[in-house]
This record gives sequence, structure tokens and C-alpha cells, in this order.
Amino acid sequence: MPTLILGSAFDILLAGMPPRAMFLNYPLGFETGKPFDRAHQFEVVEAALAEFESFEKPGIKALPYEWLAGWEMTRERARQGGADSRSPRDTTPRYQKEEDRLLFEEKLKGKTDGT
Amino acid sequence: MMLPSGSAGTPRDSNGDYMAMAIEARPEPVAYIEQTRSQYDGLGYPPYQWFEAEGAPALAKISRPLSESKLGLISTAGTYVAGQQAFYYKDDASIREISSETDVGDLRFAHIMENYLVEAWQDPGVVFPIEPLRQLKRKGVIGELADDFFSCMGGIYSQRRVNEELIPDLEAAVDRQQLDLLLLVPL
Repeated sequence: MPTLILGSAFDILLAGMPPRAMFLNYPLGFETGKPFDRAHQFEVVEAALAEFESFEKPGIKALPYEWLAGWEMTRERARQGGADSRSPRDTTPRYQKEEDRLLFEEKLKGKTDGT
Repeated sequence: MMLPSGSAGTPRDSNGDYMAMAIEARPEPVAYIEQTRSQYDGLGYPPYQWFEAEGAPALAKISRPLSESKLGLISTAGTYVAGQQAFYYKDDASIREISSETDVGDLRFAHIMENYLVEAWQDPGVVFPIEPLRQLKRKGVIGELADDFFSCMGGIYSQRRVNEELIPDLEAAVDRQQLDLLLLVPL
């Protein structure tokens, strides 16, 4: 199956050598565009997919967007211990919101009860 | 072709079978592998093992244009939908099926790289392009979208579990969607 990766970690992409990759030179966590900018997110995804059929050999192509918001945030993340906050590695589901946990447990209970 | 030198690395494929286009944008791409290695070394944790390809892969042939294709999506951002079980942090090799019609407001994320999710928790569109894909379908740029997209935890220490559990499950799930093309968005 033909695949296209849209990613922002150039060195990790290069290590994995995916068949078709579009590199967006943004900090990690913004692989499909800047926050709260739907027009830009659309543009990034459209531009990446437009290249799907253009690869004549495997490799990585760069998207022509520049991160203008400043890279201080990456240094700030590094100061805070990097991307990985080293939360405990256990099998407790990490719900983004407490209400998600309640919702899932409610649904699970419904299934168990047969209701 | 110019590869960024030094810290971002160079491909081990020296036969020129793998192409890496010029990186015009500045600054030079962040060296995440080196950064994470030094962080984990400093904390006394074992090094994280990224996948390293032996050589350039084959290029699967595209049989029809995007405008006539059924496109799927896999995200490694630990995306789940409100009402589903969230991912956990110790080698979670499970996957989540996410309807391509899911409301953006119901998308959630759980990934060991928590500091990279601060914005995604507020705007899922920074890592999970469900809305742009729907727009592209409406415009006719994409022929059809998969009924279900897929997500997994992108940070798993056990390569055995990735190879023996996660990848076969993802392959089977993708097969069921009968796709022509697949978009992958790693975190």
C-alpha cells in the first residue's frame, strides 16, 4: 500500500527511511500546522498530499513553510526536561480529561450490565 | 541535494537510492535523537531505540490518482475519542479506531511525550488532520475517506510488542478499510 508520512522530526524520518515523506520544519507537536489556524492546517495537509504522486524514488521532501513563532518554545521544553515529562510508566490509562475516564467507565459498565 | 550536516544525521544508504531534499528553511532541523539520548543518559534511563532502516525501501506503485482513491490515516499521537479508553504509558501496543466523521471536539490525546501535546489538547488540528481531510474530500481532491482512521501510542519501549502486536493489528485494521492510499502522521 502506498504511504505518505507527514512529519517534523527530520533525523527520525531519515533513520527510518520511509518510502514517501513530507518534512514540515516545525517543532514536534505541530506536524499538521499551527494551532488555531484552520486555513493554514488545511494548506499544510493539502500541500503534503499534493506530493503523494510525485515521488519517483523513495525519500523525504520538504514543505515550504517556516515556523515564525520562534523556537524558544523548544528550548523551554528542554529546560522542563524535554518532551517527555517522565510520568510513571504503568498501565493506567492517561485520560486527557477526568470526564473522559468517567464516560469510558460508564460505557464499560453499561456493556457489563448488558444495558 | 543538500542534507543538513552533523547533528540531524545522514542516511546510511550511500548508494543514492534514498532522496532527502534540500532543507531550505532555517533553523536547521532539531536533532531529536541526540537530544533524547542525552536526556535519558543524564537521567540514567536506558536509551530509546528508534527504528533504523537497513536501506532504501521499495516505492509501492500508486494505481490511481488521489482524487479517485480511498485514503486512510494513522496517527501515532495517542489519539482517542471521548468515550474510548485512553492509552497508557507502559508499552501500550493497542490501537483506536476513530470514525472519520468524529467531531473535532471529541478528539483527545494520551502520549508519553506530554510536553508535545500541550497545544494538541487545545486544538487537535495540530497533529490529527481530520478536518483538512474532510475538506479535501468535499473539494474532490481526495476521492473517498476511510470509514475509520487509526491511532496508536507513538512511544513504546518494547520493539517486540511493536513488531508482534501493534503492527499486525494495524495492518489488519487497515486491510479491513480497503484503502488505496495511507497517510501517516507521527508525533
